[in-house]
Amino acid sequence: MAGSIIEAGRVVLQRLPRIPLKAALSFGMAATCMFAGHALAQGATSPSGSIGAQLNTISSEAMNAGGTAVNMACYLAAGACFVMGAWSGWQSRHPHNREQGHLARAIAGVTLCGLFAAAPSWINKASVTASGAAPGITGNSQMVQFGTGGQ
Amino acid sequence: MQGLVNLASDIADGIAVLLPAFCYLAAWACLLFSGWTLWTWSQPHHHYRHKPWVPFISLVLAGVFISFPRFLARANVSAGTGLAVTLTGYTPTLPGNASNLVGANPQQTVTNVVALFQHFFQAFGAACVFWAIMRWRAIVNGRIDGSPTACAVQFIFGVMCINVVSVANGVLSYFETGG
Repeated sequence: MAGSIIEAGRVVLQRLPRIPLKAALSFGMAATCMFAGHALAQGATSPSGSIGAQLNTISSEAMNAGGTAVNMACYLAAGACFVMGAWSGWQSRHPHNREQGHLARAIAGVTLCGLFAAAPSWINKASVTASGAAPGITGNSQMVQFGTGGQ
Repeated sequence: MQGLVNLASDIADGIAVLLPAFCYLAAWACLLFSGWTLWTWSQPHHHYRHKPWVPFISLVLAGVFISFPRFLARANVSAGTGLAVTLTGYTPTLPGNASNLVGANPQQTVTNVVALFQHFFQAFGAACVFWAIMRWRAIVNGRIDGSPTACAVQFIFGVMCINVVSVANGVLSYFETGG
């Protein structure tokens, strides 16, 4: 009796479709990600919960992260330019370095130290040169809006 | 149809809020690139030995990107429409009503369709202009192979997309009077 039950169970198991392990794991991970994405989408603090609102949140985060990274990069670049410029100036005083461009590097380093330290002022000047006024885009998330013209 | 209009408006909203972020990041990247290239000029062997304009172009483009809406507005003035381009806080665009799509004549119907998708065309056109400038900069810097003329064509196409209603009206009036 027991042997026949075991045999019947074996037959049933053999008739079941075999699902590969990788496919099962992939399906499980995809389902988990779908539910996680659903939860993240629900967390958007937009008035309408739309694609545009979600991208507005992403845009805001990107600008914050980018602005912070640029601040850090300018700070480090200003310091590096100053140190390298000062070192090149020191090296240029040695007789065997006179013809190797150390003096030009020293002048460039100290000048670019000022450019990086005053980067917002320089981008302001670039904006005035390009469009005649101060920058319109700031570190805050904004939206381009089109008005009416000669239609 | 209404669903398509809603989706197009929402995608346009997405492009319209992503574009200032891209411009902001591109502007700072251009400024840093410009400063770094000027520093490499003092090195004996630098990449842009035969292209002295590279850092200065990036410096000016930093200004273009950081004031991109005003740049677009000026491009619209050049195009003859004077369409205003401004920046504002995020407000979802109210999609047009697609139920009154069919007009009294074919021209009116085309105008209605263009007006329904106008917001998408405008946002897409602005993105085209941004991408044309980025591509032109990469070509000038020697990063990619390409034609500056193609960038100019893409730029003009973008401006035409921004002024799509004016372009559509112009084309329709041509057909009305020419037919």
